[in-house]
Amino acid sequence: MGYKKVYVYSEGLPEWTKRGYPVEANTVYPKIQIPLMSAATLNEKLKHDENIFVLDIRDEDDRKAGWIKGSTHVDMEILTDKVKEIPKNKAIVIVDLHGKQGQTAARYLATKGLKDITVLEGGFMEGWAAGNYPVEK
Amino acid sequence: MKKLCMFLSAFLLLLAPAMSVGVDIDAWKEVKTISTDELKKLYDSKADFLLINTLSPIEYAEEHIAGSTNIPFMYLKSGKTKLPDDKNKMLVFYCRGVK
Repeated sequence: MGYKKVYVYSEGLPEWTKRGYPVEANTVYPKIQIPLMSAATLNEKLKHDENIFVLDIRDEDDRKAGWIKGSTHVDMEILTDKVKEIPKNKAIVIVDLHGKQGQTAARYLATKGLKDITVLEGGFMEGWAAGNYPVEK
Repeated sequence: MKKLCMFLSAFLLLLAPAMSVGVDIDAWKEVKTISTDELKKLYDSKADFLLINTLSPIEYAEEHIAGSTNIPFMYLKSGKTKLPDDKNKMLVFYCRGVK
C-alpha cells in the first residue's frame, strides 16, 4: 500500500489502560457472566448430535491449527455483519483462541436476541487442542 | 490474534497495491514499534497521525484508546474501509498487544 510511516504500538490496549490513559467506549454490553462448557462436555454433546451450533470466532491465521468438526467459522471481526446467520433455535457454543474473546462475543450476541450461549472453556488452544480432542484441518 | 498488528503493518508498509494476499516473512523485520511512553507523548502533542485499532468492532465498541479509529484487518483487505490517500500520513496500529 506504500505507506512510509507505519508503526505498531506493540504493548497495546492493556498497557494503555493499565496506566490510566484516556479510553472511551461506544457501547457497553450487559455485564453478564456467560457460562463455560468444558471440551469434554462439548465432545460428548457433539457425539450425540445434540442441537448445538459451534461458532468458531478465531481468525484465519489461528485456524491453521485446525478446527472442531462441524463448527461454523465467523471471524470475530465480521461477527456484527453475520449475526443474522446464527440460528436462534440452537445452543451456541463459542470457540475462540484462549477462552477470552468468547465472553465479549457472547455478551454481544446476547444483545441480539440469542439466549442459549456458552463459551468453550480455555478456547481452542487450552481447551480443545490441549485435551487432544479430534481436530480437522 | 496478537500477531495481527505486526502482520498488518508489514502488509501496509511493504506490499505493492496489486498484491492482495501473501506477506514476505522478512517484512516483519522492517516493522517499527512505538512504546507506550512515545505514543503518549505523540498523543498529547496533538500531532497529525492516525491511531488505528485493529480489533473487531465488538471489542472496539467496549473499549478503545480515546480518539482512535477502528479498522479491522479484514475490512481493509476487502476494501470495506479505506486508509487516507496521503501515503506520508503517520499510521499507528494497535490491538491487545503483541507477544
